[in-house]
Amino acid sequence: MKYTRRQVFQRLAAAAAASATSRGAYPATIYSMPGLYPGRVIGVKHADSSIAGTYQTLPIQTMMQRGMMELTGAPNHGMAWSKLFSRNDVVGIKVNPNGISSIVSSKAAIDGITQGLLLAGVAPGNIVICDRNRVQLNGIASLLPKWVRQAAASWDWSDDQTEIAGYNPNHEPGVSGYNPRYYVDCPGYLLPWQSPSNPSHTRSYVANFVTQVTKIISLSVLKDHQTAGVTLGLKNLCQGCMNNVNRAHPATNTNYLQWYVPTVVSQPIIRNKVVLSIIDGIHGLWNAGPHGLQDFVWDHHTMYFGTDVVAADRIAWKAIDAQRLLAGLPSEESSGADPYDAWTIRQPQHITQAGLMGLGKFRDEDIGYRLVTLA
Amino acid sequence: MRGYVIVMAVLLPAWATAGTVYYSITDLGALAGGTMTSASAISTNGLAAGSGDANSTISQPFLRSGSGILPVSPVSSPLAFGTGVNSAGSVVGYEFSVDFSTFRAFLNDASAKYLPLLAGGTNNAATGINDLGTVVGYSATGSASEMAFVYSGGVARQLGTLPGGTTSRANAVDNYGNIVGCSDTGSDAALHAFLHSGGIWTDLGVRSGYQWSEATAVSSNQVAGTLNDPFGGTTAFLWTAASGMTALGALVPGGNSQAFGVNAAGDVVGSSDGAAFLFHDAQMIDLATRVLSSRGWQLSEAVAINNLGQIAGTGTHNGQAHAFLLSPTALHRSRPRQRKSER
Repeated sequence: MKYTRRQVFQRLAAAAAASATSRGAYPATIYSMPGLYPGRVIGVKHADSSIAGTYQTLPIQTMMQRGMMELTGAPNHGMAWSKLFSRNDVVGIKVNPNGISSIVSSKAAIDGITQGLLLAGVAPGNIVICDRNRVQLNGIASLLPKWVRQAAASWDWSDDQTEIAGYNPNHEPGVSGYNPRYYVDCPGYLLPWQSPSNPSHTRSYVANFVTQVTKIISLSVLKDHQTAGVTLGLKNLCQGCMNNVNRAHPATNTNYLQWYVPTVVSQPIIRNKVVLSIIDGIHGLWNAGPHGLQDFVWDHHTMYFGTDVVAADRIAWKAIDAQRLLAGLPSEESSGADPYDAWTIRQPQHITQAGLMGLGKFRDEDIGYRLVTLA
Repeated sequence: MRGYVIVMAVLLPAWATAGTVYYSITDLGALAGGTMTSASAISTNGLAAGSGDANSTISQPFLRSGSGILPVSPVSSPLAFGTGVNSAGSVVGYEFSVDFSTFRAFLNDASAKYLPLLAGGTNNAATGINDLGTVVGYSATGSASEMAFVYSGGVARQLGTLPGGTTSRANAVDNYGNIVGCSDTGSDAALHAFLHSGGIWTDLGVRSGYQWSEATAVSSNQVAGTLNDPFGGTTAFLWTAASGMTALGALVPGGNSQAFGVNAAGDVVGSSDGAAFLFHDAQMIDLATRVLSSRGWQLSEAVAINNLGQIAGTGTHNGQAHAFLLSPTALHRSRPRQRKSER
């Protein structure tokens, strides 16, 4: 049997994933991935959620409330949040503030989450908005309630992401670094300058903010990604909660994300804390992700809700592919480099792989998707 | 000795000296136009407070007295939470500004007013009030995101922290002025439960195997709270000066529990794996098994208990989240002992 170069590469990358090890225990709960409602995904569509590219608060509030009620089966908004959260929780909201302003979610969506948590009895001081990089959080400061705590692991993106304390060259405040007790060791995935004998190169450490909360909500955005294919809940949790992640796509023709993303997310401290995934698809980005160009943003007017991160990602992935096909582009899985995206291999299959690793449902026949249209 | 027995008989409610206690349950219902309520506190004379949705408000504080459940006006917000109540019916809590950018502590004692912020702060929240009108809570300051405060006589003052600490939160105050909450310390970054009594700080510590602790209720030097382990697990505790911190376990082996209320007898209430519990006579009891008629109810948390043995909490009743009030009943009481003089 003769293998193509790509097939050989894929097998080597898969073998590297199989050799990955993790450190740091965290017990599973009934809320752990895939959560209380495996395979259940709710889409809520409201045509007035964005008008002329501007988010509309009232429709989005309604979408947030209805989405949570449909997901949990609760008769009202407050009870819906109480199904997943209680007064003793410290809750991290992992946002994805990477890219142009139309694709970083909305104040109404973030307010909807924090208000839901308050209704469930979570104290204001026990709600934390999180992202890996402080600069990106600062970029969405106007969207965040001023009273809410914020946590970031590093100051900004850098080529060398291996510092445990978090890359922070000017010692700026608001950077809390990574936790040496929790990491995934993937010696098979390295940047050219990294050494397989250097633990700080072979490991990706978990952000301190992950260790400091009891539950995590992923608030991602419906976006194309030039290496991951799509950047949704799984990608948000992987690249947004660990250090040393750029080694997962070390060159434009080398990509390990299909295995790296599910390997990272399957770490007990992540998979067992993530209880809810919300994908903001009011605006979607169908090409040139993750940073985006306005030309590739479309009004999708839909938000997705699931405790099953994998299933929600699968539904949202199909929405992006559908938009790409409308524009005459190939699907993410079969797409390569183009004038806006440099990588020759995209791997939305990280969603499939996550399902195969037991993180959630990935086959369409196992997913119960329901779209609720409000207007 | 005889005098001592008589004094005890006066101080303790009848049910406390009897056998197994059962409760009647009262559904506190919902505010006009609303569907759900949750309880937060109970006063020494059985008034309950909490929050619920209502006409045109997302969450509004309520007061439950003998005449039923009534909305308590915060100052101006459609998003407000009632956290404490005293025997005069004064309710405290916090409310968010209309633009959701800040939250402020309020006190409603006939009229609603904001409580003063600590210097440099933009947010504060009230968490408890006693029968003397002393209010506790936490406020941001110029240097701390949370600092415990005590409000009395129109003045809010910073309570401070455990030695070496930089941040603290006060959660409850009893009628003796004992205040409990949590604070960081100079020795580690973790939060420690504290008791502030007579101007003296007591670090209640963190038991081995746990990462941080928080005290949530106090009554006559009985302190209840929760221990948190590094893995998200929680265990309710009861602390007394004589016995120190006692972990109360859980309703199911290996389960989790959190304590939210305590009375002078050392009875603790809280939640264990989604069920309301009472810790009484060194035993954790599923309160659902002690309700005379619990049909349609799931009791998810008990949040407060007073010296009359009345318990406030939240559960679902026929599918709706409603606050409830449990009152000990005379039924099923064991046969009273005869007094010596009657023998």
